[in-house]
Amino acid sequence: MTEKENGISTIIRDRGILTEFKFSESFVSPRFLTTTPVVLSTITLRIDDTANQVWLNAIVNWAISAGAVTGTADLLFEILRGNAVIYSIAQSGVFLPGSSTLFNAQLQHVDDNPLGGVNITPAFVQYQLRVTPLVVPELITVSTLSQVFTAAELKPAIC
Amino acid sequence: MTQNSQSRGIVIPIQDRLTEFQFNEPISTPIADSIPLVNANLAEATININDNTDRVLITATVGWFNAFEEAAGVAAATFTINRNGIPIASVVQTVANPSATAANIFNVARIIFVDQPLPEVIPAPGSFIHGNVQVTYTLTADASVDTVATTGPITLTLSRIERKL
Amino acid sequence: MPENIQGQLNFFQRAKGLLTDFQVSEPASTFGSINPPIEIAVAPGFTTLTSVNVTINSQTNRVWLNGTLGLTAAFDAVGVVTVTLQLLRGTTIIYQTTKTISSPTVVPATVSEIVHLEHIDLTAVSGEVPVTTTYTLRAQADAAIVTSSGPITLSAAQLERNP
Repeated sequence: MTEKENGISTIIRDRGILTEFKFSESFVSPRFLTTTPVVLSTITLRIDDTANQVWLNAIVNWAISAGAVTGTADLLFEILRGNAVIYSIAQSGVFLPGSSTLFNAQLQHVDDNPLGGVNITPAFVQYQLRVTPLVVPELITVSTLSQVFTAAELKPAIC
Repeated sequence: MTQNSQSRGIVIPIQDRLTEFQFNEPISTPIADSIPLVNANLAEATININDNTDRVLITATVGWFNAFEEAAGVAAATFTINRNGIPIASVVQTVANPSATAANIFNVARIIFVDQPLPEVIPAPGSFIHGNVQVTYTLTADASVDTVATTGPITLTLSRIERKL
Repeated sequence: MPENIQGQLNFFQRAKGLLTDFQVSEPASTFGSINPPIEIAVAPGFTTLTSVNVTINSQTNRVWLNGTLGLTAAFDAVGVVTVTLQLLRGTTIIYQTTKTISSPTVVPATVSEIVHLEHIDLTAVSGEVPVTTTYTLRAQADAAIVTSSGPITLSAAQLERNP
């Protein structure tokens, strides 16, 4: 009887490749940006197989409040695995004299080597969402407003 | 029998699964007549929830612009995700016209949000849920000036992520 | 036995995962990694940034496409440049979005921007399955001052239909 019931249960073939989904969202921790990099968010995943990939997505909302100056401020948004930068994208914020301008940075990366070449599973992998100021001119205030960071572990498709 | 069950034990790892996907993409290539964004409803989708731990990954991507007159300046648009009419996430974004030349300045906003809706939509704690509860998410917009508009694209997606044995 | 039946019933009730395939093309992952940068064409030309192949195995499957791209514009003075970005399935345009990059300074400036594209393709298949479909991301600027030094990411998630 047990064998028969077990046999029936395998008819439900599940080819879904999503194995783990984690997210971090914060709307209450604005950070001021001047010269030093700031880590905005961290996610830790448990990777079960060296063949798995991790699909990372993030948005960072940020703002510039300007004095009587005009120009652009440049930020670099990065994703790190451990201490290594594995993705980066740049965005310049335009400011006009006396303006408040608001920006929405978008990140998307697929990490196809989450274990970094080390073949021991399962293993915990830490991803960080970070922003590094590249150019922040005088007489403006640059701050992050909120960010959302998601990580999905995907196994290879079963064809 | 107990001994039989133990010897035939199956190890099933706890796993997240994407078990339902709903979306609304009313515009994917530019339309002729722009839609003003002041108090605008842009997209809507409904998904089924049946467990307290069900999470809904919501994404939205909107292209928009402001038609500036012959003056430098800044215009703002807000995009909001609502759950059954209640705002749960939003993004504010600006466009800037850098000179006194009339111009259409375009931007693209993206929202990502993970909602855990069942505890929020069922009023009494400890209620027993039988079957599915439908939850409707909408994407709405507002703007600082009435020349802010969209000709698309507008995309809203809902992914139900379950954690089940 | 009742306990066994309860345990087995859990298998029947377990919802199926719908995400069954994920393909990605990410020719560049960091800002500045494409050197020399890719120049974005002006009308009537388009510059192809990347493409991804998806093998669709059911007519009711959906393909959820996400593209994320870094762009840079080099200005000599105050000005704006507008970039049109498209997703194609084969040779058919299935999605289009627009982004303006601007500089407010009279002195030359380099301005970087990000564009995200998101589209769900429902009509990936018109005949027999399986079929391999190619999705392409391309761009066009209205002035010859835009380049991409990375990153470029185009992902395609294949989702079965809802139960």
